This record gives sequence, structure tokens and C-alpha cells, in this order.
Amino acid sequence: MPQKILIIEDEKIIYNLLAKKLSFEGYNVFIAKDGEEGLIKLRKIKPDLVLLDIIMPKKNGFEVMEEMQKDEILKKIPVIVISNSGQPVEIERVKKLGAKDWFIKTDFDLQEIIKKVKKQIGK
Amino acid sequence: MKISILNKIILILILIGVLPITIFTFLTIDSYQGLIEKYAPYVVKEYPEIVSETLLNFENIKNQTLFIFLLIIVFVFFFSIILSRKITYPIKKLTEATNELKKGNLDTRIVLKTKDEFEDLAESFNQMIQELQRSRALLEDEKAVLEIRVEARTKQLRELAQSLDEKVKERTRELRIQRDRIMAIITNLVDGLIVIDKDKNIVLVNPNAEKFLGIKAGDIQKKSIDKLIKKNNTIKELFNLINQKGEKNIFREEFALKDPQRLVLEVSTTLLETGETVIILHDITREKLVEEMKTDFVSIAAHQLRTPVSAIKWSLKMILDGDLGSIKKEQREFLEKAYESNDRMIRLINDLLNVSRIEEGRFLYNIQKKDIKDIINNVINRSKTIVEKKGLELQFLFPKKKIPDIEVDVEKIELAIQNLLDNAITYTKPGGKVTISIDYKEPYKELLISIKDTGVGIPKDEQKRIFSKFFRGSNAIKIDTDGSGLGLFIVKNIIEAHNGKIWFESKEGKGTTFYFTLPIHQKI
Repeated sequence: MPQKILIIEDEKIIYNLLAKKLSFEGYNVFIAKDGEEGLIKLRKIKPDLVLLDIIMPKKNGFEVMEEMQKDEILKKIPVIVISNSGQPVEIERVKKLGAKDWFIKTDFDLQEIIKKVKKQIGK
Repeated sequence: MKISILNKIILILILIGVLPITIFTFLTIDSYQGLIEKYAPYVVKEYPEIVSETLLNFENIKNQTLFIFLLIIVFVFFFSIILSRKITYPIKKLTEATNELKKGNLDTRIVLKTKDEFEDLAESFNQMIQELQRSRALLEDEKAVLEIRVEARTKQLRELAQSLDEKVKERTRELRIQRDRIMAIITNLVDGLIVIDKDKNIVLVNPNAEKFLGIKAGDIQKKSIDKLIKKNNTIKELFNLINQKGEKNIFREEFALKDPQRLVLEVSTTLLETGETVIILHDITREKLVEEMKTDFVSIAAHQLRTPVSAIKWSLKMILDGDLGSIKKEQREFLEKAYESNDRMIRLINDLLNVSRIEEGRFLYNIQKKDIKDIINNVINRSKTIVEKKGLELQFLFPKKKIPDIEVDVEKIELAIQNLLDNAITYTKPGGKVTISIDYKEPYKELLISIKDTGVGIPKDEQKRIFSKFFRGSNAIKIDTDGSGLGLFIVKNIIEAHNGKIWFESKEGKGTTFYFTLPIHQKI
């Protein structure tokens, strides 16, 4: 059974590309287009990994992680933050909220992102 | 009753001279009278003329006796006066002289030529006075000398006292001015200030400290902290923070106040030599707010700028990787160029965002222990393609001896080295050489890293400005038009954030060597 990855990201082209690449790698990919949808899908799907954007409508990435922290099951799901900002205060904040990794989209190729995913949950 | 010596002598002489004569006279008369009375009847009868003669004789004797008596009295008086004068005169003289002496007249002398004991006495008296006079004179002299000395000393002392008084006044005035000045500063200080003595009593609270903590100075001044902590929650939290950090050290810490003040304070303490602790409360509410706004702004800007370029990057990469089907050679070439251009755009955005972050002074973030060789090798690997493409020789020199791991923000140091290496590669013509070397300066516990190229060099008159933001060398612009002029500015900031130093040596047309040091350990 393939592992489930939930992408919570509002930018269509970004989640499309990510979903495509991850599907090629054999993961079962789900998409949520904002924080609120993300939380609903998190509870429903209970993915093995979450790729989480920070700046999103309705609920931002920080709020999603705060909600996850309150939930005993969701708390255990590894989160990789995919953001386009990377200020120390922000990185510090998501690390406190339990994020496993953080990357800035422009600094990595999709191939490198796959590596990060594999590092977290294997193939 | 006082009886003078004269009177006494007269009295005595009369008693000695007059009394026996008188008694003798009366006794003689008496015996004659007896004889007469015994023989009278016979004589009268027979010799009446004898009787009358005898009676006449008696009368004569009486008169004679009276005369002698009077004469004796006169003599007695006369001699008494002379005698008494002889005796009393010197005494009187002595008395007078003594009186004079009593009055303080030491020039008194007694002149007595009596040739007797009185003269001796007078002589002795005179000698005594002379002695007295001499010793008095001596005393006077000494007194005079002493007086002069005392006067001089008194004058000196008075002057000293006066100058001291003036000095004290002057100093007091200065101190008062100083105190007033300090008090004015403290009172009007924008920071809150609290001073605690060594017994943990609050000694001073300035108006802004009152305002920040929502307290009245009168309520807490001269009171012990231990008591105040029980009454006031804000004070309790503040001192908990201070105690945590240790009052003895100087430290800065954020302290967020809840309602109603809603302030963020930066607390710093300093221990004075007197054992007093000065607590300074600096209101950074605005800064914090601005900082938050800046973070939000940068975050949004980064998001807005990077999202499209990352979409382009990933799309191109997928196509180039053949994930979306095979592409023609010509298509690939164009797409690769597009990909490179996009990366240039990304670098530019990164530089801009880095600058904004550097200026916020919170660039260093993730300090890790790493082998510097690994970091440099990573950077070199990333640049291998371009080095080969350009036909450059890239050399990496490091000591054989083991270099201890270095405490750095890996990402930032990689960025710094990457920037320096990129510059070396960009500004060196094909066939040139780039050398990276590491040297471990063990006594200083630091690494010296150099990146040397045989490139265009930095024009001498531009060397001073090379680390300035947005500055680009005039020769560099001609070679590479898309540089932002931020690279070296960022590098310098990163190195300095690591407590390192950066400098360079350059000759136009010959090449440039950038040097920087990094301490093995970071003090945080």
C-alpha cells in the first residue's frame, strides 16, 4: 500500500507539479487548497506525511500546525514545511510546532524535495 | 581698730619714761610732805620763816617736777616721732613699693640708706624685683615670640579653614549640579529605571518605570522586593526573570507586560560596585511591532516574488528531466537557458531578501558544528559544471593536520563562500585559476580561509567601497551585467555575524584574494 502524502498549498501550479512528481515516485497524493481544507483532509485521510505551505487563505500554515498539535493523532504526522519565506523567526516557530523540515521552494528542485520526503518516510 | 606704729611707740615710751618719773615725783613729794608734817609743828613754832621758805621750796619743787614732766613728755614725743620715723619710714617705703609692685609697676625701687637691717631688706627687695623684672621680661619675650607664632599659625589655620570651606562649598555645588543633572536625566529618561540596594530594597524608581509597571514610586520605594513580590504580579514576574538570569550579570531580555500596559520591555541589569543593582527597562513595543510587520512584509514579499519563479523552475525542471515526455534538442537548449535565467532571478530575489534580513540583525540562526572541508566541498561541487565549462582550474588546499569542527550557521557560511567563489569564477577569464585554501590558526582558535583568483581585480580607487551595498566594480559591470552588488555586502555581514573578519588583496588585471577568519567557537 503506497504511502499517503497530503499537500496543503494554495498555488495551483505548485501543487500540481508536486503532486505529479510525487505520484511518479509512487506516493498516494492528496491536495488541500487552503488551511481549513487541509485540516479537514488531515483528519479524514490521516496521511503519512504533510507538505505544508505557510501563506495560504483561510488558515495559514502556522495555524494548521497549531491545530495539529492539539490533536493526539495529527500530532504524530511528520510535517515538511514548503514555503517561500524562510526568516529565522518563522523557521523557529514551525520547529517549535514540530515541523521535521523546512525548505524554500526556489532553492530546491523537485528531485531534492523527493529526497527530503524519502528521508522522512522512506519509499 | 588699727593703731599706727608711731602711736604705739609714743604710748610705750610714755609708759616707760613718764610713768616712773611721775610715780617717783609723787613718791618724793609724798615723803617730803610726811617729813614736813612730822616736823612741821616744831619748825613752825621755832622757824616760821623756814616754813614759808620750805613751802616756797615745795612749790618750786612742784613746779620743777611739773616742768621736768612736761619736758619729758615733749622729749618723749619728739624722740618717739624720730624713732618711729626711723622705723616706720622704711616700712612705709616697703609698703609703698609693695603697693606699686601690686599695681604692676616693676620699676619701683626702694632707696634706703639707713645702714641697718632695713637697708638690707630694701636691697633684697630691690634684687627680688629685679629678678622678677628679668624673669618677667623673659616671660614677656617668650610670650611675644609665642604670640607671634600663635598668630601666624592662627592665620594659617584660618586661611586653611577658609580655603577648605570654599573647596567644600565648591565641591558641594558641583555635586549638587551633578546630582541635579543625573536626577534630571533619570527623571526624563525614556527608559524605566529601578535601583535596588544590596539588601534588596528598592531605592529609586523613575517616572517611566512607574508608567511601565503601572505602579507608584511612593508605593514601592524603600520597600523590600520580597514583600512587593507578594503584592504585585508584574513585579513578581519581572524579578523572576531577573533572578533567572542572575542579577550579577549584565543581560538583556524581553519582558512582555500583559493588560493593561501591553508593552514589550527589554530588561537589562547592571551590578554596581556599591552592591546596588540597576534595572533598566527599555520600551521595545514599537520595535517589536515594526519587527513583526517587517517579518510579515518580508514573508509576503518573499512569497509573492518566489512563488512564480519556483513554479517556473519546477515546471522547466520537469520538462527538462523528461517527466512530461521527451523534448527536442533545440527545445532543451532554450529551456535550459530559461532555467538559468530563472535561477538568476531567484538569486537576485534571495540576495534582496537576505539584505532585508541582514539589516534586521537576525541573520545568524542555526549554529552547528561542521567540518569546514565538507562545507567548502559542497560549494565546490555546486560550481563544478560552470568551472569546467569556463575552462578554469579550481584548486582546494587544506592542511594535513586535522581541523576541528567549526561552529557556524552552515547555510549562511555556504552562502558566503558560494558568493566569493561565484565572484572568483565570474571575474576570472578562461584558463585562469581559482584557489581556495584553509589554514588553521591554532593559537587563535580560528580558521583563515582564502579564495584567490587570477581575474580582473578590483580597481584601486574602488577598493574601499567594495563591501558596500549595491556597489559594483566598474570593470565587473562590463563582464557581468546581472549582478546585484549585494554579494560582498552579504558575505561581510555573514562573516562578521560569526565574529570573523574579512579583507582582500587585489591588483587590477592580476587578480584578487579574499581572506576571512572564522572562530572555531561561537559565543552566544
